[in-house]
Parts: sequence; structure tokens; C-alpha cells
Amino acid sequence: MSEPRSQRAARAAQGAYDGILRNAGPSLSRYLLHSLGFHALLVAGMLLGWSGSDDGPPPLKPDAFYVNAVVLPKAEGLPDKPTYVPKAPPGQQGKKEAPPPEPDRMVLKEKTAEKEKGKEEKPPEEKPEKPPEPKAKSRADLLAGLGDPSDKERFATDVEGEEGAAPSRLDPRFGRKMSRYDRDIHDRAKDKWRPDLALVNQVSDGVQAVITFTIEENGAIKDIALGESSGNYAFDMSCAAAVQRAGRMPPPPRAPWQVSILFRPEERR
Amino acid sequence: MRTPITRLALVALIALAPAAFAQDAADEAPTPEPLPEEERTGSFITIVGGADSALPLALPAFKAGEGADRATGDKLHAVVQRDLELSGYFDLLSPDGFVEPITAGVALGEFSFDHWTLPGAVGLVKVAYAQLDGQIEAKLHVYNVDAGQQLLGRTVSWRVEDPDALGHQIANAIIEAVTGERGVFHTQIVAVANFGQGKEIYVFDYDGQNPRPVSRNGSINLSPAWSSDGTKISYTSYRDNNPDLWVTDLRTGRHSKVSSWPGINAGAEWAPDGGELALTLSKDGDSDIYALQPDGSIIRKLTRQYGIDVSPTYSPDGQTICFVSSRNGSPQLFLMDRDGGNVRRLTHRGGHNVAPSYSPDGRKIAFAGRDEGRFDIFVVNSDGTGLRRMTQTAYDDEDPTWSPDGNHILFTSARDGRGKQLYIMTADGSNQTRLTDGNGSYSNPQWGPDPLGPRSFE
Repeated sequence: MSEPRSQRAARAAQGAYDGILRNAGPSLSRYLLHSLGFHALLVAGMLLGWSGSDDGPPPLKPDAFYVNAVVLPKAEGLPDKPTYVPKAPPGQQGKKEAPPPEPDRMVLKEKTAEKEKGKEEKPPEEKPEKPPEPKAKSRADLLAGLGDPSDKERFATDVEGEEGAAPSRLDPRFGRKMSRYDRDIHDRAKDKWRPDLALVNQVSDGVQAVITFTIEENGAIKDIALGESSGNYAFDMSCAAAVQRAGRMPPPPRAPWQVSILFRPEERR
Repeated sequence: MRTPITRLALVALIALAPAAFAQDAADEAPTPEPLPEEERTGSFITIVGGADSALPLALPAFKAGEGADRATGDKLHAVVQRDLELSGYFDLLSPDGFVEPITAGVALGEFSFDHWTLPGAVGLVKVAYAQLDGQIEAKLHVYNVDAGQQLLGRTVSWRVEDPDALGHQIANAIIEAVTGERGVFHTQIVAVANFGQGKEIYVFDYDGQNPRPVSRNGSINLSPAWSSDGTKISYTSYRDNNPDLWVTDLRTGRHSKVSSWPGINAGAEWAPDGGELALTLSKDGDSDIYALQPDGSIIRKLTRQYGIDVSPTYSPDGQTICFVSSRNGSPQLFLMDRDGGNVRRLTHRGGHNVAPSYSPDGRKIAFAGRDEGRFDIFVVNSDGTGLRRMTQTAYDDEDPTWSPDGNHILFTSARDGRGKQLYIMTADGSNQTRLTDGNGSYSNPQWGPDPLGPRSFE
């Protein structure tokens, strides 16, 4: 698997730095002088108002924050039960209208009462910048519901994009040590994830889906939703089913705890 | 590297890198410090690849239809279940956890997937069968429970008196629907078996069931090998008081003696193109490997060095022969080109390595190696790297042979204290399962070619 671009850049920088140290020798002080001068220039530049971006630092509260943006659009005419509106299986799609899934196909189900409670509980203040799109129905609308354009950039599917870019785009901390709680969620969901049947005779390269959900104070999972579709209905469902089968999580540090999981198959060798 | 400009550029690169990342947040991954734990209100997690365990599969009892008797359905079910278990792909769920009402049907829409999410099924196999005119007709459905989708719907039929064959056919269809790869449940093996009447050659179903005699001469018969088209079997027999090479045509049942030089005529293997056989002759005193025409005439002598050279086996592309030689003292595996040139030693560890078998993709060789006085099964890459142990018991594990899809290895073992029995394992050494029931003892198994033709391995 090719490493994310950010890691590559970091490694290149590290290599360059090592090279300088190796070649330093007696003239190290010269470099220090160069460096000092250069940094002084940089600082001066910053003080004088030079800035890489107009609106200050990039949004660095990404993780929970983006997740909040997804409120599962409710297809009209659908009973209250399911929170997940699956993309129509091939052949049934084409219209903007999401067909109400047959009851038998509804894998995701929760106790209605619990779900309604969850719905009412969900205060709009949780996502002040991104009010939910009320009428989102199709997959495109679902994505549109993710909020402002910069969000969409980050969630955009890398269908023909550069290989290996997805993890770094979607998870800034991919490759770093996960917190213990993140690791718990990761392990439980991975252990229950079976994309096998969805990928039989299918191209799996570049396929990925995002499932979002909320963990309540007691560890119960609610509001399982599709944050980003893979375009493969069965694959999407395998991801959602993984979260559902994972069942109860350990009580989160704070409740409600918003989770977004990017699922992608292992690359075939 | 030494010019000041270069150095300055490097320093600039380091200094500017964070700014570049921050500036181009939308295009390049931002690399923020993780939020302090006390400020986080959620998790953003990436999962690459699903669970590494066997696939949870439900195989409820088959539904009896018109004219069907329950016993036939149960037998069919047992065959399919055994095949799926031996495959190593599946975790077959216990029927104790099944909650589906008995009235549910097998076709899409005739049952609810909800009843199968509860016991944790990811795959679901439903079969209804009917019997008429001496035939069993089975309607097979394979479902993806997570997605509520049908992966396969097919009707298969076969003679009532041979439910095994129909069961294997159903299991093959299931494997193909779930993995995209052709199953091996319809293939056969050949082995030496002693059921109390001497060592005779038998052909079995892949799972060691339904023995069909090949030799029936009351003498000692050894080292059976399939021709590449699966129509003939060669073996060494003492029926004429000398270890001669015999070939039995499975279509006609005709036995013919093809090589009867004084001394041993043993351990023959067929080239993949069927054009020649390699075997060991000791007619000149030393045991050497020769290439023979299928009619027994010698094409050429392949090994010339002093020492015992035995157990030749062709690589799937037919260009290389792996064999056992004691030329350096202890028996070790060697490779040579098909014409006998370019000999190189393959194994260097262990003092006694025998019985090589090429994987069908030609990349690996399984063999029996003696360790602490007992034989175990090992696999080594065909370039000599990557030696790994497959079995470890207090009894001898011997004579490995690969399935035509390369996913399984069959071997013999005495580990259950019932004499040498046939065992199967997946190619990574897991799921080691005894195939035969302890009546009789078995040796020299060789997995037959797939009658549907060889597979392609990229």
C-alpha cells in the first residue's frame, strides 16, 4: 500500500534534515546562521501580515465535528423504524426518489421508541454551522448534507484519485496512535465487518464507505447512517451491518459520542 | 549537496513544509495535532479490511418437497456441511441459534432476513429438494444476509442413489458464489490403502470417501500418480515379484506394465503435458531418475551423480523437476531442469527432507521433513526461501499433496493413534482435519487434476 502523501512529505523532510546533519561538520555554524536569518525573515513576514490563508488556521476540530453534520435524511413515506436509507440496488435507482426499502431488506433496525427519543434528543446546536438538509434523498443529496464545501472536499470519494490518499484525507490522524477508545471501536467494528460477499467478483480497489453513528452514555449505538456511499449497495450494507453487529460499545468519555468510520477493503496483492 | 544554494533550499523546505500543509488544507491532508482528549466529542476511524476469521454461514436443514424422503435430504445436508467445513472458509452456525419458523420458504421473499441477522449469519444457504423418477432435484439459494441479496439461485439434480455427488455439486456452487473461485469438492484423490487385504491402489472422493479399487492384485502396490488428464494412474507393483511400473486406464480398467527393468521402477510422476514420465530406475546399480515415454521407453537419464535419487515431481509449467537426493549424505530436496541440467539444492535445514509436491501455481513446494525424530509437513518457496512449518505433532505427518486450487494440502498422519490416516488442512496449515475413519491405513496420497481443467494463476 502506498503511504499517504503527508507521511511521504514528512519522511522526505526528515531525510533532508538527516543529510544536513551528516554534511554539517565544521561549517555547521554557517547553516545555523542561514537558518536563523531565514526564520527571522519568516517571522517578519508573518508580523507584516503575510498569511497562507485568509480565514486563519484551518478547521482543526475536524473529527467529531464533521460527523455531526450528517443527519440521516428520512425518505418520505418510510416508517419510522429504519435510520438508514440504503442506496437502491442496481436497477431500482435512477430517480432522485429513494425507494422505501422492503421490510425484509431492512437490516438496520432499532427499537422505535429508542430511536425517536434519539431523534428528539439530537439538538440542532450540535452542528451550529451545518444545519441538516431537510430534503436530502439521493446519494448526492446525502453527500450535500455533509455541510460546507470544505467538508465535501474531505469526504469526496477518491474514485479515480491518487492511490492511498483516502486515509490521509479522511483521517488526519491515520497512522498515528489511536486513543484507547478509538481502538476499542475500531477493533469491535472490524471484527464484525464482512465485506467478502459484497466484493465477490467485484473490483475492490478504491471502494470505500463512511458510516456514522452516535454512542450514548451507556455505550448503546444509535442513528447508524451512511455518511458516504461506496456506490456498491452490498458493500455499504456490510459496513452498516458491522456497526450494528458490534452491538454495544464501552461507555464513551463524553456522551453523545459521534463516530465516523471509513471502511475500505484490503488492497489485493 | 555541498553548494550553499542547495543547503538553503533544504532548510527552506523544512521551514516551509508546515506552512504548505496548512495553506493547502483542502488538497493535501492536514496534519493537526490531535485534539486534547478532554475536548474531543467523537472519533474518526479508518478500518482497512474485514475480519480475518471464517465467514459466519447458516446452513439450515434442507426443505423436503414433493416425493422427498427426509433421510435423503439429511444425507445431502451432511455432505454439503462437511464440504463447507473442510473448506476452511466458513464458520457454520449452530442450528440451536436458528429462530426461523418452519413455515418459511427458501426463495427470496418467502422468508425474512431478520431471522438470520439474529443468529449472526452473514451468508445463508437454503435448499429445497424434491424426488422424482429416481432423481433428486435441489433448488439452491445462496444469500448475502447483510444486504438482503441473493448471490445465487440454481437448480441441480442427480441420481437418488448418489447423494454424495449432488452434495459436492451443491457445495461447489456455494463456494463459487461466495468466493468467486471454483471449488474442489468434485475432484478425486488416489492413495495406497490397506483394508486388510494388502496395499492396493484406490481412488477416493477428495474427502477420502467412496473408495474405488484401481489395482486389485493382492500384492504390494505403491506410489500412485495421476496422468495430467486424469484418465490414467501409474503405480509401482510387486505383482510380478519385481517393483515394476504399471499403468491403469481408468476408463477401460486395463492394467499394463510399462517399465520392468531389473531393480526398482518406482516413484513415477507424469509431466503436466502428459508427454513423459519421470521415475527412478536402479538397473545400473545406483538409483537414478529417468525420463520415460508413456509406453515405458527411456527418453534420457536425468541424474548421474552417485547417491539415491527418487521422488521426482514436475513443476506445473513442466520446466523444472524437484526430487530427493542423498548425494550429499542425508536426503534433501533438489531442483533440476526438465532435461536434467542446472541441478541446485532446495532445502538446507533439517536432516531428512522427502516427498516434495508442487503447489498448482508453482510457487511453493510442500514436503515432509524430519524434526526431532518425527516427520512434519513443511512448505518452502520454489526458490528455496520462506521455509515454514505446517504441522507439528508427536506422530509422523507425511506425503503432502496440494488441491488443484492450491487452497488445501492433503497428507497422512498417525496422530490419532489409528495408524496412518488421510488428513486435510488449508494451505496456511489451519483447520487440520482427519478425513478417513480409521478403518484401514493410507499412504502416498495424490490429489487428482480438476476434471474441469486447470486453473489459471497469475
